[in-house]
Amino acid sequence: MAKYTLPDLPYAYDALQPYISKEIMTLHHKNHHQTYVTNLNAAEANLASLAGDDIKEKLKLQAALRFNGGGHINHSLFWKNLAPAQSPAARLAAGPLKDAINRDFGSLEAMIKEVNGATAALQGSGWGWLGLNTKSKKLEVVTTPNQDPLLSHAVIIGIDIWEHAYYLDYKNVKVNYLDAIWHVMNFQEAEARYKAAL
Amino acid sequence: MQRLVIPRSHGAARIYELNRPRKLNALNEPMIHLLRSTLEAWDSEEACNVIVGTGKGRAFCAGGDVIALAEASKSAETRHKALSFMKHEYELNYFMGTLSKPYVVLMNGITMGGGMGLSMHAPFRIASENTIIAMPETRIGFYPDVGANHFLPRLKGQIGTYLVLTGADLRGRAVFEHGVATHFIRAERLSELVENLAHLSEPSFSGVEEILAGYHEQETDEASSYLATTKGREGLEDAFSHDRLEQIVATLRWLTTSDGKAGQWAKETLAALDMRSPTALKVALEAIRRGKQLSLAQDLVMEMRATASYMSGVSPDFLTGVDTVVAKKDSKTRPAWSPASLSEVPYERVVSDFFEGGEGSASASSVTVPVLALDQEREERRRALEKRQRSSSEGLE
Repeated sequence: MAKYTLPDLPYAYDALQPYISKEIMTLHHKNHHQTYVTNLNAAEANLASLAGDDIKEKLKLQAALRFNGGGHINHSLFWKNLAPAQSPAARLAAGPLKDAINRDFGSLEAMIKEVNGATAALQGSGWGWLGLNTKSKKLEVVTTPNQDPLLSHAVIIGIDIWEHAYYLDYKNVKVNYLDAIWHVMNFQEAEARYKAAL
Repeated sequence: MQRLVIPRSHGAARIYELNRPRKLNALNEPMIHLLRSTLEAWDSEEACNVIVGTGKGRAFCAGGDVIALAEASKSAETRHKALSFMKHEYELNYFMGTLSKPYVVLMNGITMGGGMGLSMHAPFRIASENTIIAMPETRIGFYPDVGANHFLPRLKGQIGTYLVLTGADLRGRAVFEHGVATHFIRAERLSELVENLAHLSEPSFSGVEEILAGYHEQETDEASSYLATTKGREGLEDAFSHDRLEQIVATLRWLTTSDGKAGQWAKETLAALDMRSPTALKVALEAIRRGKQLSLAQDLVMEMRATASYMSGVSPDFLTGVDTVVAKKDSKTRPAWSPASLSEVPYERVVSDFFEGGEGSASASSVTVPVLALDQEREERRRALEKRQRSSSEGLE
């Protein structure tokens, strides 16, 4: 039976300052993501201990698996698509991803505006995504509620819009967080994902 | 018809919402029974992994319906109603303090008296910037009950004694600083917190603790209340660690000579104590001293005894207090307490009238003390459960 573990951050807890504080990164990684991992393991252990024909109990566990499994997937992707502002990975270099963004949105600024708009408009908690429609090969903006993972598109970039992702730094002013996060977006990782999904 | 307590299911969480906002969610008998039956169902429901308590409006719960209680206690014919209400309330307090599922109370507003009874005994007590807690019973000639004499003396130092005698309040972060709340979380984050709790995969105390740790607002360098500062704590301990009111008053008088905030605090505290019913002060002090040694069940039994005396008119101050302070809404005039001063209330009399059933006391003749239906094993089971779960190491084997 798989045992999930909390992946290490690819950078130090203070590496994304001043856009995302050390305090948030520490709590977000060590508390929130760790809790999803702990609860995912617990839910899977519970599932494994059930009798094969105990459908009712299995159904009851599904919500916990979906939530905590999604939380683990989403956050693992998230840490990777962030990078310190000064690193070269935080610039959108010339290449296939840049071309696709210009083609599908007109410009980087336009894409950011659309992603931020959709993400800010989410009611409650969830995620904003730049995804690749694998049929049409077009980049599209998608949102998912709660901790639902993105399944309809290939993940290029994810933005956590749960309050715990930004509250301590930005209080309830989501839009400031959404403006700031693009300074620490890992476009190199985004391009690698784009190429892999084509 | 209005639903006084609204039960809700969200994932694995079971949430009750007190719904009497225009009365600040004050508890009446129907609400006590609704809460009890709802919690009984949830505590044994397999799919329930966490129970959450909330209140609609700007209060979590401001207390009990004291006017109705006072009215019922006036005559021998109706007295049993008052006693019955208190009995059921204490049994509810005990049940809430011994739930086998993790119980999280969002004290997101005024939480006083009976409201403290619903929250004090929960393992997870959340204060927000809107929280105001108090045990104001001595203002109305009564004494702090609902298990306060078990919970408050177990807080660090004498803050509990201070709160029960003065009826003073604590607000916001200070509620956490003094240990009345276990966490401090901003109000706007509470719905996200409940969302998280709803996805717990098992009724684990450590699982809830993990989630709460991610929302708790970390300590700042400055204490938010004077009493949490070093100087404040010193004065508090000096004055309130005595076992007799007279000694407390004497220490406070001496402290009024201190400079600055310390002297000012002592003056304000003395003024507050002066307004309170002398009998109630002595009953409250004796109760909190005894409660420190008692389990929750034993404490509630002790309180039922004292409360029965009050509801039987052993002290007229309860009726006087409710009339002046609550019915007439007069908080400026000192109510006509009888006896009117501490020196006219002998300690031995307080003990025999409210705590023991000695001969020659008012109790021996006219006070019927209801028997509380408390399953003492629940408390032991709960203690063992919590100890096991919370001390288990992180991660799985």
